[in-house]
Amino acid sequence: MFINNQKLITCILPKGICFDVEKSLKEEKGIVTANVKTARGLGKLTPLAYRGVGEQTEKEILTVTVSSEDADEIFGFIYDEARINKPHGGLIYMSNIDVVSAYSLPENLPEEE
Amino acid sequence: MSKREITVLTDVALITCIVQKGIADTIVKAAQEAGAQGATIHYARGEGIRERLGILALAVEVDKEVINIVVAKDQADRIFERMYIAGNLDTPGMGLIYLTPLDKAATYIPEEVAEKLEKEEAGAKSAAVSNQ
Repeated sequence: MFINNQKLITCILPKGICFDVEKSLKEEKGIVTANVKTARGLGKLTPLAYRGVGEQTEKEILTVTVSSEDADEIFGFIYDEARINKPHGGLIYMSNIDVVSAYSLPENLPEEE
Repeated sequence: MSKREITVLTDVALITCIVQKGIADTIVKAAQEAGAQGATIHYARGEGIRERLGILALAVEVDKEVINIVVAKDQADRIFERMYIAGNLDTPGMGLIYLTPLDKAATYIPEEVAEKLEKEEAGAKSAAVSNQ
């Protein structure tokens, strides 16, 4: 089954935040279509660049597919949960997706520890 | 409940570049020289032309680096071209680069920068009204 009118929200965050955001998305918004991957990142505001330790820091990239109707709300939710509005807090952006396959988890699935 | 405001950036695009492992830093440096503010790099494994090159496949690294850079739309073409040239992407098997338009983006914007932008916007609006 395919779904139209979806948005992809991508969030680049400092290491260690994504899991909590992913958990909040599941518990408070019922979203299970989030994925996390690790990355390295650099920017003009990278704090380590000023300390001579190195220019790159570890990052996590969170991607979530959501319906167009809910996109703005989820965008704001992640923005708040991930505390992006602080220095070195990361970056969030949203883009269009034409088609997404439906995805759901089996019922009565035990909680992940 | 407090009301929060998100300052969103709308004229932005995402440049994604997939290259062989070890080349990303050169490309990111070129992008920064062209005006990019930052970059995120993650690893991947690529397949495609490599499988059809026979013994020459040894020359193409299977591990890839994927570069993501969010840029302003007016800078996108310049940065895109600089990255293309820096990565020698016109050579077969070297990699791939593409540009995706974004609906919106948000990040931390220092208060003084936000105020400056608001003033500029207000100034542009009043100038448009006085011209009418």
